[in-house]
Amino acid sequence: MTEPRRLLEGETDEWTRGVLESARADGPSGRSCRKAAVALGLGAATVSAAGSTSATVVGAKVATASVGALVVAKWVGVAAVGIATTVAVVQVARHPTSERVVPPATTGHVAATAAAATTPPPAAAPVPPTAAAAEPEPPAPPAMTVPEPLRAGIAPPSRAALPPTKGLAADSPVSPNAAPLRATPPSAPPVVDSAPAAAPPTEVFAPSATTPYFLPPDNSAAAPSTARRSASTLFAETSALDVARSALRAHDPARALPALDAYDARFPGGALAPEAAVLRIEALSALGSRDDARRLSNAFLQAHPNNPFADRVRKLIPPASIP
Amino acid sequence: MIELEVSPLRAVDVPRPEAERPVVSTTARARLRAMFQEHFTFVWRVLRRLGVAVQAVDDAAQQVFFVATRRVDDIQAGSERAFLLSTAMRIASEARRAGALARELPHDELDARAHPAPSPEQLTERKHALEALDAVLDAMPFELRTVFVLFEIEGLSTHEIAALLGAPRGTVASRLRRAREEFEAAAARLRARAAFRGGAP
Repeated sequence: MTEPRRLLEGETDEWTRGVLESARADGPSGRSCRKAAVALGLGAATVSAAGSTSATVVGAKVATASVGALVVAKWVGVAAVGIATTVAVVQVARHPTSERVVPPATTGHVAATAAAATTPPPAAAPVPPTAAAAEPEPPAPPAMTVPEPLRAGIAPPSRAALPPTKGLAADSPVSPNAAPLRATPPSAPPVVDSAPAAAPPTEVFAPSATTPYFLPPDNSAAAPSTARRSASTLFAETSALDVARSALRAHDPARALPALDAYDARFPGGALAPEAAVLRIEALSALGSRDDARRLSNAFLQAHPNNPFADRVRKLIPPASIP
Repeated sequence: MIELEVSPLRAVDVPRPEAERPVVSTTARARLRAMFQEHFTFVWRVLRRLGVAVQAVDDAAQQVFFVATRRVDDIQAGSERAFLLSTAMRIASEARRAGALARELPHDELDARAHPAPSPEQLTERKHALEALDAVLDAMPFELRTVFVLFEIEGLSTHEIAALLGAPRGTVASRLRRAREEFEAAAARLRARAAFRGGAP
């Protein structure tokens, strides 16, 4: 029996191709993956290499945790040297605030519920209650709209303010200090000034940083700020663009475009937005859409005249040819 | 918001992560981690395309892996994906019966879900495409939908699908044929209506 030819491999109308390619590119958000990994007890074990008491251990752990985590290691390493506290707090902010949207179902908003519908993972459990007392701020808004406050303690209060939902209460008989998922004892984090609040959640975060290489971008992390952009988001961004890159490498620019659309939709103002723009210009140019490519390249050169990619763009679409 | 916490699917039997996670050996855990890394996205996507609602799919995907965790010793090396997939199909089908899934939609509703004329530049294009696809898939009988999703989207061979379903390859091939016919008919309907309303599909 001969194998039938797949619709995407044969002559298929544009609509069918579009929907099927979209389906192939679909996937869980990075946050969904992290939550699942933690809930399944698969995440925390990846940080078992630790034990140091310095805040920089975050970088070290991530660096050794996974080959796929190299990029993250770089970012986290840099962060650990320079702004360890900030990174830690950002992570604290990410997780617990996301917890607030946990009640799933019936809200119809796709993007919001996609990440919100997960079973509440025990990830946030180790947040010490002491942190909650530190800052009497009202609960932060759901993750998608969380602004940029990088002050220590923004997240713990939001978590503390979260009433014990059924899921959290029943699923996490975890005392705040028990942290059974952590393979390592909570490292004493004297280096970090917001020490008790920041360090354990950072550890909990660390495993997730080892997974994104197989993860699609994080839908719910679409907040365009740079400061909240965590290593995992960067990783997710990288993997999102990898799809487009590999499509271009495979001389399949048509496949790169939906991937770039997906990237833009998930990471508006993302850290790799300039590269995404360049990839789009390349794809359009390869597809023969010279006008679109030119228009985008003009916009790009205007916005990023000194970007490292600018030369590539100029070479691709000579400015002289601009009408 | 708390009362919304329990989704229909969860009510069926989403295991409680802390309470029921079985103790597994280090080896098994390593294996589960590998399975997770390799197949979680795949499982999630299959569940989604088999009709698990977006707000339930994360739970459902976790549930698949909870089952794998409980039965890790029974999963033969090399058949991890098949195990996960058959579990996913069972869970999708259970969830469907439990009403957590999109129902099979009458055509009017299918039409209502078609977004008129999103420009190609729109960033929401992919989302619209997926909504349209799901509307079309929702109109298919489950067994056709399964074959269609696995073959056309996930790229499994008919041989693999036959093994998974425990059905002869000929059955798979004929289901695929029928699924394609249904797909094309539903897609044509969707597009015709979208065009009638003045937009491209």
